[in-house]
Amino acid sequence: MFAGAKLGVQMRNPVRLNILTIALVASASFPVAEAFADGELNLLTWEGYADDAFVKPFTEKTGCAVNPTYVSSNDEMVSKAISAGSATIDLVSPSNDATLVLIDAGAVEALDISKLPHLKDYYPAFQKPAWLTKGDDLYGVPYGFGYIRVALKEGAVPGADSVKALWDPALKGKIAIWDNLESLYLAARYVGVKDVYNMTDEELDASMKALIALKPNIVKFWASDAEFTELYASGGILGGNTTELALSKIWGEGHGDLVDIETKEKRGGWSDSWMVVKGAGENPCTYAWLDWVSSAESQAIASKVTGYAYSNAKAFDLLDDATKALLTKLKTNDPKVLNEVDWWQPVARRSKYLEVFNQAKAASAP
Amino acid sequence: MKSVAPTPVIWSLAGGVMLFLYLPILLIVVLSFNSSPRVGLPFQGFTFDWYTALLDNRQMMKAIWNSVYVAFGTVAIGVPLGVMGAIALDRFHFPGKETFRRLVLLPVVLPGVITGVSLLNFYVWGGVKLSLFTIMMGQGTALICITVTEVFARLQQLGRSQYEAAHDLGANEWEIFWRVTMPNIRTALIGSTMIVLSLSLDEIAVTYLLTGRDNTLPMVLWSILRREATPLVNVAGTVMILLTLVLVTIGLRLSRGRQPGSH
Amino acid sequence: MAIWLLPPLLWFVLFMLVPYAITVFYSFGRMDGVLFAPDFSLENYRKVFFDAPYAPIILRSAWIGLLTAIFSSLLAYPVAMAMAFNLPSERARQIVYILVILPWWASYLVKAYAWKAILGPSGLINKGLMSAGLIDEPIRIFLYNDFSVVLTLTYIFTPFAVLSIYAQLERIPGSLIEAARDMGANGFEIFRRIVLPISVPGVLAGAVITFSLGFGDFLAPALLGGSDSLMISSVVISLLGVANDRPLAAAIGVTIIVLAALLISAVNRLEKRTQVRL
Repeated sequence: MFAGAKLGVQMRNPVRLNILTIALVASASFPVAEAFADGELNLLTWEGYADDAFVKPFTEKTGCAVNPTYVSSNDEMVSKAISAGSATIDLVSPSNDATLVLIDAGAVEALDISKLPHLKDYYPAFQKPAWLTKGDDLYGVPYGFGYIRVALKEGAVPGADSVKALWDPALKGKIAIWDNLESLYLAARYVGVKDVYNMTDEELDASMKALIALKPNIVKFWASDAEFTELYASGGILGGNTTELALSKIWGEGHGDLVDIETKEKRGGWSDSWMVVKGAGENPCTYAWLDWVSSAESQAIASKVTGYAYSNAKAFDLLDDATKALLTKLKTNDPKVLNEVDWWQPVARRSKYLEVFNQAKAASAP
Repeated sequence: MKSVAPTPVIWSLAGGVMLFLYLPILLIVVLSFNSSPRVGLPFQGFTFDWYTALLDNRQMMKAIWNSVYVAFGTVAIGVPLGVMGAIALDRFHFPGKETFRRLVLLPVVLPGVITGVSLLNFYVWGGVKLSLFTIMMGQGTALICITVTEVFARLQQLGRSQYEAAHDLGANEWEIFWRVTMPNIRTALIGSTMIVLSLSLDEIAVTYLLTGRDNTLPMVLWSILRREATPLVNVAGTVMILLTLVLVTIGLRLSRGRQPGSH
Repeated sequence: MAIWLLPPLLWFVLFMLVPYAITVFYSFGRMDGVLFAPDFSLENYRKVFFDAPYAPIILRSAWIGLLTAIFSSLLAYPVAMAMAFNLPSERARQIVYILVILPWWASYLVKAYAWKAILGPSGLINKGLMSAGLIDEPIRIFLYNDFSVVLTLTYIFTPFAVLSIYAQLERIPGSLIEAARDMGANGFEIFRRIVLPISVPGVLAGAVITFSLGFGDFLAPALLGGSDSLMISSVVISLLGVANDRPLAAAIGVTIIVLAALLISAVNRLEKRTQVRL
């Protein structure tokens, strides 16, 4: 260990004390969060995945306090899980394009399935998905999932039944596209690539050209569901590619005219899973959490909070009518649709994909 | 007064710019009372609900606290080291002085992301766990130059006569620092402390890369905005203005109280 | 001497030079799956300079930074002038000083969203124009393009330029201006022959800071930019995040560190040439 770190550890307490005294003057009412000695669980996750609605019952039942830290991208989650370790994080909830990265890096541990009785109630697609399996071991408990939609205002492109609708000249300056590699997959599906997660150079090049050809239609690369919602609600766009979260929000705000188009092409699917950071399995709260979040009961509460569908098939029956109706409208729980989803896979040439995507983003519209 | 341009001209220009600076601030404050669920316009009605929502939001309250904590830590690192650097540059000639001067300026010119990437590499390599403390070290390092530049400029204006006189009268380094240097650089010090504080409270790029488990306010706002953009965000902006104003006022009072007489 | 120089020097070596050195080390390596593999290859630099997106994006970011610096300096100058010459007391100056930095405290993100609320299709400007009967349909040219990016960056960074120009103007003794006036110089002549030349280093310093902040920004293009508003900091973040390509991110980092060092040298030289001894 080098000198700087030592210095850091030694300095920490006195500095903190001084700052406490100074800051207390101005902020007597600030809750100073002190770490609990035990019965504590640190989550690195998405906003909405540690909501009080289902965290409170968990804490009451188990005595485990939950400290969530929210991240804004999968990659942030991955790099932090790899660099931080179980001293600071117990559980992470990455999506299916990042899970194998963590498994291969040895940052997460294999699960003891005997401690996870609810898994048998899961949809078949999530019982032992490829993106969580290495050898015979399962490395994560699937949680929320969904697939990427192409959505357009009713009548914007009459008779739209394909991703090709987005390229329609009638949509000039009227769509928003996700600032995510998913949009490169979208362009790849447009040019007819079969395996969008393993593209050749030629296929990547064709996808890039398709994305550049789409640019006159793109007002904005959106970065969050909230942004897409706001763009549509304010009349800034007529559609784009989006998630069920934005769709349900937009519908909920009275814009029922946004149509989720059933495309001939397959749709990219995301699935988040709770994974145990290496060493954190010893924390008794860890498996208590996995047991709770995999239960139909907790997933039904979570569904209501986030509007996502969850992997436990029994959760659906516990939902209230409004949420049931929404999920039915979104077709997230339709087994037929689930079978058609082209689930995200870890992309071996991620660097190259990103370069191509950035190149398309930097290009000016033709 | 030593007015150069005709007063009406300069004030209408300066006033126009101030208006430009304050129009969005006004909008933020007004919209923090908006009863609409959206961050932006239109204004649908007056409510305090978002303020109570902030008080109830554990995550955000903790983040505000974390931000203040990091800002004070950053000041505690950046300002003293900056004063030392400025004094060294002002008083002494040493080999590599020019290089040192430029080195000090580098973090201010460098994009925060690059500073963050370098420090991230450094911490990963050294096996240091990311925490509020690592953010503090990162920001502190990047902001030393603010104090160096401000204080150095002041020292250069002062010249060496006072220092030499005190030296001749037998004062030691420490006495000279407290009795001669400190009173003279006081305003520069207050100014740079304020700038460092303001920069740290709003720092995003370095923090983004160096956050561990605990988040500062900008990070939490970023993750909240990612999900839904409610007027809560405007409340956070308004509260930060007030909170910083209180901190700065207290700071100014304290620094004035310690040395009555000087302006 | 050592007690003053040693602490900051050691700090800089440990927390700047060592991290930079590690970054240089990474920039010559490559990724082997998720693990870093040390190497001595210039491949990453070849990509930075010759592969399609990188060099043009660096240039583009510099252009955005330049525009930000120009507009910030122009806006800041009259405010700094008013602060230095038109305020009656030290106390008034302190208050205006705080008024200038106060907008900073509202948090960058919140301010960026405020600009969206001003410029957007249902924003303040469009609503105003529509209720005045000047337009029927919202105008879309205000938001999601380079204009909104530069406007927001200028807005956010102008206070820096004010403080840095003011710091220079503050040094002009009142007696100098009075003397000039006594000799029959009018306001414009005083401005052109005294104030302007003396302020140059302050303008330069402010311009360098605002240029750098604009150049390195990644939030304004993400929030208010259009479909081609990609800047180099966002690319670095995506390289780390999306692709976990630390070596390439490091190579871009080293390239920018060298560019920044060159910029500082150039400005130092310019500053020396323009510094007026008072």
